[in-house]
Amino acid sequence: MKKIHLQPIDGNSTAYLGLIALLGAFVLGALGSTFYMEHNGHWVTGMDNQIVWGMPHVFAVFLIVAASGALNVASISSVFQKKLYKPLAPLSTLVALALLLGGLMILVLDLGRPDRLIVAMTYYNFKSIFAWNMILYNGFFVIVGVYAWFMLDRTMQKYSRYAGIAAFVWRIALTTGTGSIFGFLVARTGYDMAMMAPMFIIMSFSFGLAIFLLVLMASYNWTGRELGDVVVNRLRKLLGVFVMAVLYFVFVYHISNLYATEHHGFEAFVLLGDNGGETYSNIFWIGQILVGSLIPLAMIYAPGVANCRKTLATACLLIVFGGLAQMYTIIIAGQAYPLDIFPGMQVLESTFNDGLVSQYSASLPEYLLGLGGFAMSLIVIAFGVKVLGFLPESLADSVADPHAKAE
Amino acid sequence: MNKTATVNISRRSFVEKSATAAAALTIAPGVFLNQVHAKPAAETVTDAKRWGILVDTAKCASGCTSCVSACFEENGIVSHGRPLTDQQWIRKVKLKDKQTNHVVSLPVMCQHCEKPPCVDVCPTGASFKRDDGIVLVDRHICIGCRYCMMACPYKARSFAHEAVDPIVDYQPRGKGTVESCTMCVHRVDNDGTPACVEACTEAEHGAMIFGDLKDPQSEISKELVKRGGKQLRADLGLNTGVRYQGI
Amino acid sequence: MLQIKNLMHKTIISFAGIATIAFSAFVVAGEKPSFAPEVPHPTNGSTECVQPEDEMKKNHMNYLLHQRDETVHEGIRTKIYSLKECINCHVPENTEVRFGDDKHFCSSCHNYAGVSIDCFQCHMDRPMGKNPHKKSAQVNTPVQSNVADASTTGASNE
Repeated sequence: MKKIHLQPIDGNSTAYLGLIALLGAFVLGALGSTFYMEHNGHWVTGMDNQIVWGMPHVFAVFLIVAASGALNVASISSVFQKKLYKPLAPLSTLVALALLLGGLMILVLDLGRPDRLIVAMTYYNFKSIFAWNMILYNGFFVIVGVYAWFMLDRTMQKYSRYAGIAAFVWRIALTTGTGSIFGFLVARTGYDMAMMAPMFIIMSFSFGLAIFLLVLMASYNWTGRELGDVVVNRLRKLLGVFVMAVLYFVFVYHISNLYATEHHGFEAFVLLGDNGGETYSNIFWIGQILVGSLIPLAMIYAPGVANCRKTLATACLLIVFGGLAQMYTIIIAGQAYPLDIFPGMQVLESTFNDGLVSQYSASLPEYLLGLGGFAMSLIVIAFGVKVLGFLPESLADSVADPHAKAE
Repeated sequence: MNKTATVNISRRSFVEKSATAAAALTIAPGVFLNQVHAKPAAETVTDAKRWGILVDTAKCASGCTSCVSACFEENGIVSHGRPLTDQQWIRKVKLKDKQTNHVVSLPVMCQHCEKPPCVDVCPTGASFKRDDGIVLVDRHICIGCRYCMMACPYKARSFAHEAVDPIVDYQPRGKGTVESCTMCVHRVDNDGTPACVEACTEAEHGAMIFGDLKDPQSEISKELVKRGGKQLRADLGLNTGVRYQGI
Repeated sequence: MLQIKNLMHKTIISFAGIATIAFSAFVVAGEKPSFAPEVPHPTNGSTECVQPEDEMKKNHMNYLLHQRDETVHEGIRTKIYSLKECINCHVPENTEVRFGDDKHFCSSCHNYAGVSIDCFQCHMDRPMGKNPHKKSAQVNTPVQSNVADASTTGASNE
């Protein structure tokens, strides 16, 4: 294989500066909404004592899950030794770090006491998966940072495989931890499932690769560098497999729940929209399944569109949208459905929404915070490729894989 | 001596009890019997006691909210007119059994589980169980992540969605942290009874008994032996400190 | 260029010299600089704190941090290092002065030193007095019935 030449981008054009400015505006919006929420108290948001985690968490968990998935490409190259992916590995680490940074930013800024972050980093209750997650997230930065360094630094390149293996193991642990945040909650019907952790892992594969592909195609398109079809098609097919895998896990999750009579109420709520769950069933069927999985699958595998970049980009965007819908269904619907505190009893009266489905509508500060976190990730990526050589100068077919047959 | 809710004891047993109490106090001054739960201020709480509350739903009056008002007043909880974000440390719930159509009413508050899920999930350890069984939030290290609220099977926890004003000096609470029923730990440590139990007694319903679950001579233990007491969501195996009769 | 540099050097050195002389004068005179805070004395007549003044100035935060863990986690409610008792002694009852105002006992120093504390986001910054309970504590009114079986998206829960 020809030697891959990593090169920072110029980053001087008006368009680039305009992009940074636009993303920066969103980040400022997030900071502004944080100040507003923190100063007044969380009552100004749509989150309350019934729906305690809202839109910011939807974005944050999505970004964190996508972050570990974005590292996949690098892992495939280092751990599974697929040479085709090797030039993509540095960009993969950058995207992973950036997405995690954005997600964590949202989480921290949404805390009731964000000024106590240092308390969160020094007091640990090791029975809490959340505490483990803090260690895993911080460790991810270190390990992936070292991994990126080893790949970019010629003198350390021979150790990059070991860093890659460490990063791979770590990111599996991290996503398992993230899924277990929900999976370990025995209290709620929608969560108490061991499947949460592996489902999150497979979701990370799908979302992370979708975002990675978008970043890859956008950065090559906008800098005029060449991106050959061989690389894109391999990633496209991989993405298709991941989307199908996610569908399988969602299927198993719901089938398992449907088998248990005590979970029928929740399943009817989410799948059929019973008992006030129309929002969630719509978001599930239309947002997550149709728009987020089936249409992208068609776009990925349909015979006529194999080499069309625009179609692929649209498919990736739809997958991202579907991922957010999936997170919304998991996080919000799981909380909206009432706790089953009194089995077999009907709640006639309560001042605390017992037995009632809770309503949730995200407020503007929550949207701004979530989008700002996303923008932060993108700014880090845009800035990173300017500062350091994360992008190969060319990924044309002849460079990436001279032996590949044209599709 | 424990406050008794229903005063229906015969004269002989009353005389017996007073005599015993008087004798005990004079025979061994300074030696505390099990019934007296005074604790010197400088003494650490131990697991020698486990505090619990027993609710008899048959005696719980359907429209009465004395326990709720008492709790709010005791702890300085004010309604801001936003019921979804206002604190609710205790609430009255009216239930109907779907099979039998039997209606019960009961107060629901933090169940002070022996194995609290909220304690398990708190990342900083702010949600903790004291040795004597009372589950509390150490609001000095609570970061307001609300994970415990997700984890509580009884939805007992509330988040302080706005600044607390005015603050009650024996029950500090603040914006941005999570809080829940403390079983009036400030009263319990000074040999008192939780405000809800006291209010129920004063309202002449006597549906709530507070006491030491580990003391077989305490009123609550005797009542549990006599007529039993069920946990809410017993299948979760949390061994709650709050038990209910009649559900 | 050289002239400006010389002038700059001269200005800096002379300024430093004046500041040193002024400060030394204060130190030698044994007085506090005039911009030090005016810490209010307790109004209940006591002249001694639970520890000597210098010790408290240096370590009051450690006493408080230690005491809070003991009280919350172990139920030790001794009064000597209790924040409530500090306030009861150091802040006059029925005062209108709140934390943040320079006249408040804690803020008088903390404002000056620029050390922000979050104690009073949760704790009372003045003695509560003899009638702590506000009888006007409103309670959420009990709900009208809700029918959980039917589709009740709009059922109010007040």
